[in-house]
Formats: sequence, structure tokens, C-alpha cells
Amino acid sequence: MKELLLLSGLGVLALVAEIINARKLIYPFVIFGLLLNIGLCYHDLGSNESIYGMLRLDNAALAFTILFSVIALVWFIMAKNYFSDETNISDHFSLVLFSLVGVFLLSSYTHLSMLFLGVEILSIPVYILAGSDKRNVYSNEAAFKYFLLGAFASGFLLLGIVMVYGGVGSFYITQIAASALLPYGLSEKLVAIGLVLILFAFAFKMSAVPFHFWAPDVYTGAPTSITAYMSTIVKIGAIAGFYRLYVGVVAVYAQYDFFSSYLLIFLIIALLTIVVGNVIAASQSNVKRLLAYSSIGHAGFIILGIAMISPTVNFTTWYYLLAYCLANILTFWVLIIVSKQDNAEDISVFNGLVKRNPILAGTMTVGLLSMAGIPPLGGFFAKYFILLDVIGRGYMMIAIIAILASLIGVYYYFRIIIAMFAKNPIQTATIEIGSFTKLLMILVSCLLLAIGIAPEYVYNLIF
Amino acid sequence: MEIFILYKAILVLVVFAISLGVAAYSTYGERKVAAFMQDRVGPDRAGPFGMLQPLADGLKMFMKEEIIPTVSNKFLFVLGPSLAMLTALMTGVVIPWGGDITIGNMVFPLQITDINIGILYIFGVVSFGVYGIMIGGWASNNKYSMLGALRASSQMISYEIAMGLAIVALVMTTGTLSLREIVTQQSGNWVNFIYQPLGCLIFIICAFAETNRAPFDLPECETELVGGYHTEYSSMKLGFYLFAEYINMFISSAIIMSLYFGGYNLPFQNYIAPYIDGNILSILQFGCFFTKVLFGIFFFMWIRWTIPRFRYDQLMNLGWKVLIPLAIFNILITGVLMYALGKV
Amino acid sequence: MLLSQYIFLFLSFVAIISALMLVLDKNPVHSVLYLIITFFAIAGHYLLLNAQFLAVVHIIVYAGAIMVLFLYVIMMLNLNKDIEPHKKNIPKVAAAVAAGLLLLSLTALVNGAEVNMLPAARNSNIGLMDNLGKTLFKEYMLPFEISSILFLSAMVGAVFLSKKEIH
Repeated sequence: MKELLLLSGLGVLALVAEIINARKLIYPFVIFGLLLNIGLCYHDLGSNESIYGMLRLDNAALAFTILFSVIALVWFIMAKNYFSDETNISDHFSLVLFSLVGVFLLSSYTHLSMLFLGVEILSIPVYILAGSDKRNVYSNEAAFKYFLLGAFASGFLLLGIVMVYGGVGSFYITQIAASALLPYGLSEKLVAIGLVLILFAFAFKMSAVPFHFWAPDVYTGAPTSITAYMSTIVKIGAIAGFYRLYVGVVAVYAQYDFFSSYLLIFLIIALLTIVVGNVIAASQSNVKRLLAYSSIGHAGFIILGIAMISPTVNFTTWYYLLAYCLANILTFWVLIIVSKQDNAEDISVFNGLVKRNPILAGTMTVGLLSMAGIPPLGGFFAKYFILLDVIGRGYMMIAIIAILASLIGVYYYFRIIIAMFAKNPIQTATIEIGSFTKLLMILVSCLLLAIGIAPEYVYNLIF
Repeated sequence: MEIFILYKAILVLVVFAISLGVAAYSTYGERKVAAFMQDRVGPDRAGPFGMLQPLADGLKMFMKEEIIPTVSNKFLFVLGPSLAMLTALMTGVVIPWGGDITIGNMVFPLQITDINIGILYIFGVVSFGVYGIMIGGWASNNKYSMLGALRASSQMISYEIAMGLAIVALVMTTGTLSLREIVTQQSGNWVNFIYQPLGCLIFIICAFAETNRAPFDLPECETELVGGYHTEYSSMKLGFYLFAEYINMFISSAIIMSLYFGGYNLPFQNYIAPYIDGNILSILQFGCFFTKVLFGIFFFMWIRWTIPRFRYDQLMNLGWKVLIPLAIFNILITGVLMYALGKV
Repeated sequence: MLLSQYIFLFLSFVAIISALMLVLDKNPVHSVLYLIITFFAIAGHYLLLNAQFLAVVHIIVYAGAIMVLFLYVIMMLNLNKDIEPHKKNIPKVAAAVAAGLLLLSLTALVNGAEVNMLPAARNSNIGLMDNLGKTLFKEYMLPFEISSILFLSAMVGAVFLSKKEIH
């Protein structure tokens, strides 16, 4: 309950600050609030608190909350520029904070109405944030596309929830799961349709192939800070929500006939996402678009991991998200600084970055290497754990395809790295960054390295 | 059962006739009131004191040439005034006009139907009423009509919110949505106005805006928009729009009286009731209610001829920045007081 | 057949026909009016399910407020056939085929699905005002409160998108 009140309170506070003319105070309050939230969650680990029976703060929920709070913290520091516009500062803050409430609901719901509310609270602010560069026609296009398709996906989600309710007669996840084991009171067909429709809705939110068509345009059109937000926090929300549903409900229905076809659909989606995301990313020259497609590929890996439902699925999902989001934020951070300086987003802006600012080049390299899955960075172990699960379940072919696809990933990540280190800069002016930014960048890079070196320590810390 | 259905059918016809009759004589009343306020005589040629003036007006409406603009959308052009009239007449269904009349062992309530969500029903119909104006204004294919229609729709939507919030507070104190129950609660008791003065005020202001009456008659503001949404209308279709406005006025004052001023209850009814036969009491109640409603209509006219029209931005400011916050404040106060007085 | 079944068939017929006309009619104002008819038909379905509150609120909110805003925008834009850019037929056909396939598979799946609800879900008076209120403020307290955040964020967004930038 405390976490929920804290997050929504921060959002309201940002609005109140506009009224009482205390816009300068929002930023420190938000940072402090997120730190407090991380502390609260860490303190609550193991408490298994239930909020009105609609939310349950079990360890997975708290782990995801800690995850998105950490990422949001880094994001807020990264996106400081985005919040420099005096006229819109409190709108931006409150929209972001409200969408964090959505992520919180998605990572802790036990009732399908909270699932729907979570998806909506997460999405609606992000639709608006995607269009927050009001004078840029691409930003408008991004917002509009995202909104229309997102509304469509919400329709599928609702239809799915209704079908599940029709089949089981309850919205509570525990009851839906329990009725799988009962001999009566269940309409298998309705549950099957419902779960598949919900899967489609989530596939849209996670930008999984073939529901990914919105993602590249929206990611490119939106302001870069918001793109970073969408490819990290929004993804955490969607995946946490889906993880809860899959582990809590779908997996329980494993004995039913429809489960095998469900799993088939799911695996096809996961594989397609990995392959299509990486293959198309390889042909991009715009870095923002490249990162958009690569984030699709990463989403594929995560849902492949969820599909395996190994005993440690909560950790593998969480760990992959952590490694991916940290690396992603780092690369976006560098991209924002570099593209702002040069006013372009092509790969060529990274040419010879090491000569213009070695710290930026270094952090970018760490982020890209982690996403490419090079040991000993976090990204490697994230992929390794998931592939281990896949092979453990006997899906040899899937593992091989996934590895091949991520090798394509290595190719395009290295294109940027090569551009940074081997090519001559087009513009020679050095890029200045503040010492605080520098420090934080190095810190996050070290964190990425640390979780790669000692994953079992992270595991013991949270799970 | 047959008698019951027959009775309901007759009652529907009677309410229909009364609404139209009151609306017709409201036009006469309006002119007389205006004349009184401006120290004139008003209509006095047709019949004694000009009493037959509404008939003459009606006849004129019917005899006028019917014009449908060539570039307009004919179906929608006719649909507009019809919808306005339809929605105006539909609201009267849930209003309790008096107590029960007992003949033999059959009880005939003086209310067409007592649905348990009466207030919400009224809201539904009122919120639908804006279509008549919008469709008519758009179908005329005239810029003045269009502007009038846009003004009307935004005004009605804006004031509906404050109206709804004002009613929420009333529903909190009464605990029911049935109009009949709200009226019976007020018998032998303080009227709701005493408990909800602010809510009542907001409701009345919103009722003025919803009926497009002065000072909120911007949709048909003749100094700016010629005739507003009914610029292109002539003959009885114009008559329908004008009639709908007067019926709306009649119905809204009936609703205001039922919700806040005791409805059909007589003053000191508890002291009188034991000495009178039930049926006579019901008829007296009907008379009392009718008097109250007529006063309400007079009040509408009084305001029209004494207070100047708002400017459009003032209207919107009043609706969104004053009435809605006030209505929310009213809900808050009501809630706090009810909790403090242990009425929850 | 019971009377309610006849009413159900009639309302469904009206709803489907007017929904089809909504899509097929070339005049956007007509489309809005068809959508309003659809809403009324659906409100009728709610009444059949004994959900009076939902029916009336459906009318007030959708027909009374949201569709008015739709109409407002359409009238302001003054959309006509002439201005509307000509769309290619292939996407239309593709969309129709895709939607048709979805319809086909959903009907095929739902058709013959046995519906045997838990007793708890069978309370037919849940749609009445007092029951609804009690459920909303007791069991569904949290979603009720949380939805305020949803609406608040939507409002902030609307204000943010429509307010003038100071330069």
C-alpha cells in the first residue's frame, strides 16, 4: 500500500507544485521518492502484503517494483533535459509518474480489473508523452499511431478478460487458477479464447512480432528521452504483467488440451520476435530506429524465457530486464547527448566518438556489448540463463535459432562500436558533459559489469 | 390489468396535453410578464385580456409557408425539431404530479411511471436533448445556425456536469434516485432546499443553461447569430423548437420543485391530511404542485427580463471554473456534515 | 419463445444493422447518428440483463456526452466525400478479410462452448443501484480509486496537449 500511495502521491505532488509555483522542487522530490520507494520495497520483501485482495506484493512484484524504480531513477537523471521546459514541467513529471503507477499495478495485480487498469494507466500517459514534442510532426504521428493501435489492443485485452470471466466466473487470478484443478464450473473453450486474446494484447504492448508494426515509427517519432522510457519502463510493465498472468494462470492450465496450441502460438511469437527484430535492426542506419528494432529482439528473448516456466523464471525474467534496461538507458543516454550536439541520429554521428569524448564512447561500448551479450557483462548472463532454460526443456532448435539471431545482433552493435573507435569523426568538436553525468554514467556502466560478474549475489539480494 | 394500462394511456395523454397547454400559455405569459416588467400592456386584442393570443400564434405557425433550404440535408433538417420536441416531452414521464387516487379497491398513482432511477432517467433524456439542436443547426447548412448549434452543445455538456454533481449531493442526503420517494420524504419534513441550498442554487442555474433560457440563451443570441440554430426554420418546425423550449422550462421547474421544494406536498400537510379524504387531498396536491410549477415558470421569465445575457467566455468560465468546483465542494460539505451528524 | 428473447433478437438486429451502417455510410454525421442508435440498442440489452444503472449511464455518458463531442468535431471539420482522400482498395480488402477471419474463428470457438458459471457469478440483481454501489465501494474499492489516477492522467494529458506553448 505504501508504495502505491507513494507513487501516485508523487504524481499528484508534481501537479500541486505547478499551482504553488514550486516547480524547482519537483525534481529532487521525485528522485527522493523513487529512492524511498526502492527502500520500502526492499524492506517489504517477503511480507506478501495483500491490498484489498486486488494486489499482492509478493517477492516477484516487489522485485519488479525495485527494478522499475531503479530504472526510472536512472531515467529521470538521464532525461533531465526533457524536464527543462518551464511551461510543461509538471505535466511531464506527473504523466511519467502516473505511468509508473501503472507499472506498479501490472507487477502486482491479482485481479483482472487491476490488470486492465494497470495497462491503461501505463499506456495513456505514454501516448501523450510520445506526442509531447508538439511542433514535430513525427512526434504527433507517433502519438496518434500508438494511441489508435494501443486502443485496439486494449479492446482485445478487455475481450479476453471477458471471455476468461465467462469461462471461469471470477476475475481473481487465484480463483481462475484454482478452477483449472476443479472438475466443474469451467468452460475450457472460453478460457482458451480469452487467454489467447490477452496474449495478443500483451504482445502488442511488448511490441512482439507480428504486433510490432507500431514500434519503429513510434520509437523514432517520439522525443528520444521518451523513446528510452518506452523501451525500458513500458516494457518492464508489459512483461511484468504478462509474467504474472502466464505464471499465475496459463501455466496452471498445462494439463488442458488447449495449452499445447497456446504454447505453440507463444513460441512462434517469441521466435519471430527475436529473429525479425534482429534482422531488421541490422539494416538500419538511424541509431534510434536501430535501438527500437533491437529492443523488439530483446523482448522476444524475455518472452521466450517466460514460456519456459522454469523454477527460476522470476529471476531470469527479472535479470534479463535489469541488464537490458540498464544497457538500453546507457546507450540512449549517449545517443541523446551526441545527437543533440550534432543534430542527427545516423550511425555516422558516432564516428570517432572516442576522440571527441572517451567517457561517452566507453559507456556506449559497455551498453552495446551488454546488449550484444558479450561476457562478462550482464547481458551475457541474461541470455545465458534463458538459453539454459530453453535447452533444459529440450527445445534445441529454438535455442540455436535464438543464438543465431543474437549473433546478428552482435553485428549491428559492433557497427556502432567500430564507428566510434575506428572511423574519423565528421565533426571534430569535443562533446562536453557535466561531471555529475560523467560520474553517473560510469556508475551505471560499473553496475552493468557488476551484475554480470556476480549474478548469484543479485539473486540472493532480491529473491 | 386492462384498466391499469388504459389508465396509464390516459395519464400519458393528459400529461402530454398539459405540457403542450402550459407551453402554449407560457408564450402568452412571457409576453405579459415582459409587458409588466417594461410597464406596457402586452397582448390584449385576441379575446379578453388577449387570452386567445396563443391560439392565434399557433394558427399563424401552421399557416406559414414551410421552407426547407435546398442545400440542406432534408432528413436531418426535419429530424432536428422532432428530436427537440420528443426529448422535451419524454421527461414528464417520471414526475410525480400528486398522491394516489383510490377508486374502489384500485389505486391510481398520479405519476406515469415510478422507475427507481428516475433522476438518472431525466439526465439521460436531457443529455440527449442536445441532439435536436445540434442536428437542426448543422442540417440547415448555415453558418449562423452552425455556430448556434456548437454553442448550444458545448454549453449543455458543460452545465450537465455541474448539474449532475449538484444532484449527487442531493442523492447523498435522500438516499434514493426515485423522484416519488424524494417527494414523499419531504412530506411533514423540511423541504430539501433547507438541506441543500447550494446544490439547489447550482441546479437552478444549470437548469437555466440546459433550457437555453436567458441569461444563457447564447445559442439563439439574436444580436450575434440572427436566430441561432433555428435561423433557417420556419412554420411549425420553428414552432417545435420554440415549444420544446417552453416545455423544457415547464418540466425543469417541475423537477426543481419536486427535488428541492417539496414537490406535490401541501404546506403543513401533516396537520391537514387527517381531516380530508385521500382523493381530495391528491387533487389538492396536484393543484399545489401546479401552482409551484407556475411560479417556477414565472421565475424563469422574471430572470429573462431582468438580467442581461452572458458573454460566451463568461458562460464557460462560470460553468467550469465556478459551478463545478462549487458543486464538488457541496458534495464534500454534505459528506462531512452527514458523517459528523451520524447520518451515514 | 419468451418476450425477452424477442426483444433480445430485435435489439441485436438493430445494433448490428446500425453498426454496419455506421461503417458503410459515406456521410460522417449519419455515421455518428447510427452509432447513437447502436448505443441505444446496447442500453436495451443492459436493461434486459436487469442492469438499469448501467443502461442509463451508458446513454448519459456515451450518447449524451461523448457522441456530442464526436458530432461537434465532425461538424467543425465539415468532412465531405469530396475532401476525403481516395483510399486504395487493397488495404480495405485486407482489413475486411482479416476482421472476417477473426469473426469466423471467434464464432467458431464460442459456438458450442458450454457456459456453466460458478454460483457466485449468477446474482442477477447485481445491476441494481444499491447492489452495484455496495459492490463498487466494498469489493471494488481499490479499482474505483485507482481509476481516478487514470482519469487524472488523461485530463493532464488533454490539458498538456491543448495548451499554448510560451515562446
